[in-house]
Amino acid sequence: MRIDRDLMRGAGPLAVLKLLERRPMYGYELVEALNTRTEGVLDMGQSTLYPMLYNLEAKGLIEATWQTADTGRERKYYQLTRDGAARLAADSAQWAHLIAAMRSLGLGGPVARGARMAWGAGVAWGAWAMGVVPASASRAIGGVA
Amino acid sequence: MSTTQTHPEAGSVPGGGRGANWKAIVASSALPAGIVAVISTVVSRARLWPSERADVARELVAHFKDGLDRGRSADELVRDFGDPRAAGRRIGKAARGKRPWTWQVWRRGSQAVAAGLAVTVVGYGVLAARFAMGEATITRNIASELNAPIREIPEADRAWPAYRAVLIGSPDAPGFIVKQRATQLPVGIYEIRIAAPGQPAPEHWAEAQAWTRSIASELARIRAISRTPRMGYLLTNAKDPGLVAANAGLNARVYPDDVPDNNPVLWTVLLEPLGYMRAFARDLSLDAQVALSEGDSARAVENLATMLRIARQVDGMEFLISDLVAIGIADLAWRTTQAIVETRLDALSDADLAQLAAEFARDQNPGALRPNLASEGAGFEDALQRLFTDDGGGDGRLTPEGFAMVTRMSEGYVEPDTRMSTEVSLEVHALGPVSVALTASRKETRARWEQIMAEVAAIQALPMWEWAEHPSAPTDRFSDEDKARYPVLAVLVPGAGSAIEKSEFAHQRRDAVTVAVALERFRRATGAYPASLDALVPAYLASVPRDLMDGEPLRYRLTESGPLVYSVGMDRVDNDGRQARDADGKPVTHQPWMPVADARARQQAGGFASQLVYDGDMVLYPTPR
Repeated sequence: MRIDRDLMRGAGPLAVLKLLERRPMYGYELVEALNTRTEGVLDMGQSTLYPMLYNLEAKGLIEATWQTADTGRERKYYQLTRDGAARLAADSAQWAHLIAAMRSLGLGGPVARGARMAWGAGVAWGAWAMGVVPASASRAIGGVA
Repeated sequence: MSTTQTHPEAGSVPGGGRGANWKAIVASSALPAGIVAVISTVVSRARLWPSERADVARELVAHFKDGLDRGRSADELVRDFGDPRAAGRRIGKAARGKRPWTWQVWRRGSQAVAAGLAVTVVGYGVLAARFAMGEATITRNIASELNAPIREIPEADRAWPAYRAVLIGSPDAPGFIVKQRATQLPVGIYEIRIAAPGQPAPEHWAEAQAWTRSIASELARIRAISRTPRMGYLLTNAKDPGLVAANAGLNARVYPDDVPDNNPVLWTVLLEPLGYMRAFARDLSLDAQVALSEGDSARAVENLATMLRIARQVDGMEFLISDLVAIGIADLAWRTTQAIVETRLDALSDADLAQLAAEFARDQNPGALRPNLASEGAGFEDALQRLFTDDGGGDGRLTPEGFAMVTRMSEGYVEPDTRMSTEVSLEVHALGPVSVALTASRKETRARWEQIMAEVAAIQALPMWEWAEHPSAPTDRFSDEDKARYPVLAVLVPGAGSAIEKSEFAHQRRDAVTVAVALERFRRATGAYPASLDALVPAYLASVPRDLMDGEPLRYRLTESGPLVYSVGMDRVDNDGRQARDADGKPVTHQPWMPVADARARQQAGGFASQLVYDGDMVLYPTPR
């Protein structure tokens, strides 16, 4: 399901920060992770991802380093900065509240992998899949484990 | 994840050069052509520094290689990448955001300057186009409008053609101009005053007699012509060839290239009679004194009456400058009369005195022989139509020619000829657009003109003793900012305030000499001077004239040496006719008007501030010595 661009604008950077929370990743890794872990919900074109990475870097939320793999291929790895970690924590909390609020309005019914999702629930599921929404909020969303 | 290795991947840039050109990086990547095209488009569109471009190229090469390694096809990767042009723009924008803050500041500043310049250039361009397109629409021939009633006057009732004939003469008989040109009159001859009986004749008296004798026939014709009701001068900016020829050889400007305009600019029209009428008046004054010394009082009185008639003819020419010349001629008549009355009263017969009284009484109405501001209205209207555009609704803006004209006039440059120069210099084209955008519109200019004229006229309508401020005050309030905003008014608003004041004092001199004549007539009739001026009314005076300073009747005292007529002067304190004198003891015969509060304050302040306020009165008759 394609997510509206305006919604993606807010979720995309947060999703990237969340992915980088665990370990540094390079561009193609991020593309794959966003696609596979959200079942395509946060599948954004690389023409969107790379500018997003540059913006996050310009804001000081992530930093990049070139590293050479065993194969000799040079890749630019991105990792979270301290400011990025703080932003991730703050935005995660906001998303949790947002999702809970939407849920209270009846938006985002029971969630199942591959099922059709109502507006807003797709983003919410994606955020949950990324781990943006803490487990404690899962009951508010609808008991999705 | 491996750390940095030293084994270069097949197809990578030899030497692992981070400083390598991005094209070389892409070219050496061995990626399919479609992917190479995407990368090239992204990097090109990003508009980054070379090192930044290399960085982006290297990352995208790695990205696509990772994708191919994952088993994706080049087409899939290209499709999934998205719009490379949009990506390039966004990557470029984002990458520039990573640059140092100093660059960011410089960039913002440059953008602001560029934007400001662009706005300025565009704005100036708009103003310049608007300025250049400004064109006046001349719909009225105001000179012709003013000439229309004059053309209806029968030729025989117009004085100017006859005066002109006196000036030019004929081939057989040289005219006044030629005679004047041929006579070397001594300097100061027109300032001499007839001597009292038994006193030696003043310097240059013989020359004065000789001169007036030589122009006796001209003066006789002038006396006759002065009885013509109107001057009848038709406005034109064409030089009179007859006058030009008569003046040839004199220090007069002659412009042979002049071509008369059918619709001349009103402020360039020639008022030929003015200078000549002043000349006539001076010679009539001189001849009056000569005549009296020769016992011809009738001729003397007729000369004085002639001067006043000429003044009225000039007064009817409907220009402020002609009003001022008329007042000057009349004032000369009054001062000449005073000089004669003071020194040769005995030479004037009862009939002479009666004629003088009647002649002076003719100009008693308030508007007679006074500056008429309304007469400037025609010139102002002509200026508006020539200097401004006309939007059809009474509004408009200064044209390039108009701006050039007022700029020249404001710099004191007087047009050397009778044409309004339409030259628009490069400087005008450069400065005009902005200047004109900041100046008042046609409608605003008219409104401000009418406001100033109304304020001056309101003061002029009051007798001097009721003035709250000087008639110059409305124009004095015209600040430098006003002059910049209203450049047309800066050059066209007449400085009539001073003329109005001088006119009033001239009329007071007339009043004084009128009273002097009335006193003499009373004395001759009764054998003694009256105890008060009231006794002169109504047989010898219509009413007792007012003191301009306080509105009270002119003061009068009978002294051992004769009657004394005086004004209380600027301090408004009656000093029983004690003449105000300066530090050198010379009589102060003129004190400029100021509000009574100012005068009192200056006196109290003392020192330099009090110098314009004299302790004492202004004796009007006889002339203080």
